[in-house]
Amino acid sequence: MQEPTTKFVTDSVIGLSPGKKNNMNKLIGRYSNRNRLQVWFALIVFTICAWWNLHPLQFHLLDTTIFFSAAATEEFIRLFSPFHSIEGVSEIAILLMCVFVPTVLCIYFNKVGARYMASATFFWFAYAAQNGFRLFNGTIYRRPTLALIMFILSLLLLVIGLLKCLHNSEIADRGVFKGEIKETDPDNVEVSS
Amino acid sequence: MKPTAPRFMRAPLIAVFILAFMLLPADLMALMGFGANGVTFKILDAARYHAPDITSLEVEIIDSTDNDIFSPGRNFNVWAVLSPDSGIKIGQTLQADFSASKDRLGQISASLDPNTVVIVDDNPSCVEIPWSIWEPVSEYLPALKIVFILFWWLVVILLVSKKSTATS
Repeated sequence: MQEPTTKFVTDSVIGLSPGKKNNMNKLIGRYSNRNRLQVWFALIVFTICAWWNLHPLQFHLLDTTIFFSAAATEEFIRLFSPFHSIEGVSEIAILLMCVFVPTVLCIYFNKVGARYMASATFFWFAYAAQNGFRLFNGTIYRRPTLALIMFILSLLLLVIGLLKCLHNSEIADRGVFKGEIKETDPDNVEVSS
Repeated sequence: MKPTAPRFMRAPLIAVFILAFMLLPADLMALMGFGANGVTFKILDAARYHAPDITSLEVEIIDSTDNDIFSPGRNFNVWAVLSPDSGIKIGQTLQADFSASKDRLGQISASLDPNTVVIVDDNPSCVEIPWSIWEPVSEYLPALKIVFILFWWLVVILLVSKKSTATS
């Protein structure tokens, strides 16, 4: 019975209210039961995408997915007015496709119940924001403030994507990984033996 | 007998020819580049850098004969090497020759010829171009980028770490 009082006194001495410490304790290890494979996958994708998003004017792997179609759109429009640069057409085409494709994927994954994959589409939304940065940074639509907002938004979407992936990853206690987790859990091994 | 392409290859061949003709104007434009002489513009914002000694100018096109790239109302970022006695200030209206090129991402790199710069309108409200406040931070940018990524690795590792069992 003495222990809680002692703990409370200790926390007061180090300047930590019991409520705050409880909240921190709740956060640490909150997702400890998540499927490690999915956690590592989210972290690796986050790292690669973050590196590309932090260098928004350089190559991003998703550029390859839309580059040809956007270029073809621009050239198709140039057919009707050659030698006149309709600047920003390809950028807007890229931006629309960048928003459209992950939106469709996100809705589809949510519909079929693949919540982890739906969360992973946020990395694609971050790429869309990166293209927003490109649009406002160096085309005829140059607006430095909007470009900065887009850059911050892309980083925010990356972090949201990472945390959503973590939140929606499989819980190890159920599902297909149940057997594997039991084998590696030392507590359960002791009980079974 | 006349050599002809196999029937299954005709449609793709026609598509390739159409695509080649579609890309022709783009290729020619890339060779030509863009340029406009005697463009009147206003300096919205500017910053000077020590190394290299260049000035970053945010300009708005006010008047131009070019209706392609440098048309009135558009904003551009221009990097120029300006001499210290050029007398260029923020808020001034200037006139100069511009040129531009497009990169792979469609970004326009605009530049002006410093020798052709003429001050059109100067008033007392114009202010001197300040030194960039971000230049000292720029050398730490790579480290800050890595810190951003590592910070979120740490957060995730804390979130997924196993809770230590209570000591008895």
